[in-house]
Amino acid sequence: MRSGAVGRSLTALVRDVRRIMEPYTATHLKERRTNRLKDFVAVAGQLSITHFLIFSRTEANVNLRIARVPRGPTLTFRVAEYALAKDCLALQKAPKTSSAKHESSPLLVLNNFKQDGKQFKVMTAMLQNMFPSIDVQTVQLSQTRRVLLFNYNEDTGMIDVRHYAIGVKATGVSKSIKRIINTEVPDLSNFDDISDYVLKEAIVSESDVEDGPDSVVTLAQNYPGRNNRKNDQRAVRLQELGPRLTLDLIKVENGLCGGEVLYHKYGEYFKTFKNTSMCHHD
Amino acid sequence: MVQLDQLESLPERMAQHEKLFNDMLHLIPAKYYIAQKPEFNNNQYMHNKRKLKAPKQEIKERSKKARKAKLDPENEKSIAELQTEQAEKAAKEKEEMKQNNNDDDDGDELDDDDEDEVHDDDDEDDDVDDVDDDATSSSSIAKGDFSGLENKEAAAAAAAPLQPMVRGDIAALHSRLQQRIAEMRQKRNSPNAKNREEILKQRAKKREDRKKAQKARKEKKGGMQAPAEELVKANNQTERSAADSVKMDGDLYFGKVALGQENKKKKGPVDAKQQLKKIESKKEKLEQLRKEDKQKALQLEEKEQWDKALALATGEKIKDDTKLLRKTIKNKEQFKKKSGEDWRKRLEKVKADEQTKIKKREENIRNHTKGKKTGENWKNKKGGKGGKDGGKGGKDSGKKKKARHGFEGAAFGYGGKVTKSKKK
Repeated sequence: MRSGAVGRSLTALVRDVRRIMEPYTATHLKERRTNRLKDFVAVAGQLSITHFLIFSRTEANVNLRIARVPRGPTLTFRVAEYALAKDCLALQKAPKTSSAKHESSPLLVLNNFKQDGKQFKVMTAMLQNMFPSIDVQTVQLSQTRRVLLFNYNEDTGMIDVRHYAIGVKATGVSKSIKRIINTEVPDLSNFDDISDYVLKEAIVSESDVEDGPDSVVTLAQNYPGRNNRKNDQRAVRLQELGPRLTLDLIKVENGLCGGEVLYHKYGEYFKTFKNTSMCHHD
Repeated sequence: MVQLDQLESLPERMAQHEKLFNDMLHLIPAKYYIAQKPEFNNNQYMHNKRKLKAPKQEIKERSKKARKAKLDPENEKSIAELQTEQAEKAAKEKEEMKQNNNDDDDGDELDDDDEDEVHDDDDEDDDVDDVDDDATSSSSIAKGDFSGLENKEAAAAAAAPLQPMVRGDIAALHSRLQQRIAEMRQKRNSPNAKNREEILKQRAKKREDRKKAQKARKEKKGGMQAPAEELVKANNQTERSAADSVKMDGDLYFGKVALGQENKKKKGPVDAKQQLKKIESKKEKLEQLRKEDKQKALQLEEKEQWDKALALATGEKIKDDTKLLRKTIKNKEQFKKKSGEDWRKRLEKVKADEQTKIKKREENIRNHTKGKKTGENWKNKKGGKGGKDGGKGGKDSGKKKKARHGFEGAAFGYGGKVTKSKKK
């Protein structure tokens, strides 16, 4: 949710982030100006909400606070850069948007978070607990349709957030055969025999080159999408869905938007500053 | 020995050869074959000559005309044509020279002879193709030229025959080309390397040198320069693309996986009272430690805070607020009390109910024995029907034995009192 006057683009970002978090989120939540944080906290207990993600804007920058609801720690990030989902989709030739993907929560991948510093452990724990745990025994492949990636960039100290949809493509089959199998039979007027069409190796799709041996898996179960049966070999492909964020951890606080400041990016001195301006009007 | 039959066809063959060579000549544009005469007009050293010759405007116009004429295809004279023109001019000059020579005989005899010979040579040469003119003949002609210059400039200039370009050595040309290239390269300051690798090496070297120079400068200047240098370094780093800084072999964490071991044994005090105890004791300890050693106390406190944050983040519920704990304890106690009360009350009630029941029963029995129920009630009510339904006793006859039909007066115990039921 957003707090305060944030402007149109940030509102769009909030909507995009809600889409990421689906289905375990309040997609159509409407915050009024008179709502305060404590109102939300009061409701959260009843609805068994665990986390709040709060976007806000100051003159200098956009902030994101991830807080654990009852009295949990708060991570404050500065959103260095962001790109809206509609812009990311516009970059692609064939964007895939199906709402079935959002019926299960995304898989989480955290890269390069094993750093020195307790704040990383807390971050990892927070992010991991935002999403439901995967029961290895009973999970279905059809529930793993999306992936949310957090990458910690050591050089710049920023966290990149990316959101992809998982797709599978048949490998080892030439494009012409694929076409015949999956879609309709193409125009064969130029060829004498279908063997000419099939053997015409000139049609090498550019994207097929990306599927190296690393990305080929054997499907353990049937996968949604045509012709993906169990024990088939498929190449895994990611297609970007959602917004891109670049976050910079500023501080970790002990309480819900308050409490002891455990870590501040700019050093020990700032720890002593009480966070009066940001939270009280929530 | 030349055979006789071939001799006859000789002029034909020669004519053929001539035709062939003329055609070839025709193909070469004149300027590439015949050495150009030095143009005195555009000479950068002979300033005065230029000025004397013609004012600027005339020069311009002339050069313009010449340019246009150059492009005019009709003006393009092939070599053969040029040669014929030359020959005609030469013939004219010869006549003029002869006329002049008539005026001053002595001095010019020798020269005249030379010139005659030269001209004769020319005439002869014109009939036959003179493409393969040797350097020797041209040099003799050149000599003739110089001698002619003494007499009359114009005549000599006109008499100078067409010289084919001196075919110098290719090696000489090659060396000249190399020289030129080297000069230009020097001008450009380009690396003097032949292949790509060397060029790359040189570039790398230059970069290294630059870096060293920068470092040296930095150390020289000292601390003042530091922020500026850092900025520069940061800029350098941002030149790398974002993809470069993704650590591929970094540690991957994934989402939480439920492994089925959720129901662990709970450590520590489960009860609120005990929790409270624990926490209070902790606090006391911390206080003590603070008195003794502040640093340690701070450290401990910080560690505890971090641990708490981590635990909260993972979803564990930490109960360490003393107020709340006390409240819970109080609540529990109150609840216990209340429930104790309720239980007591319930027990009492049960007992009381039992008592009332017993009392009632005894009363009923007494009433029966006394005959209250049988006597008055029956009289008041219907009366007539008294004894008929004797056997049927009431339900709560208590210990009274019912008298069954035919057994009213039984001795062995089946008999009983005859009662008259109220109702039928």
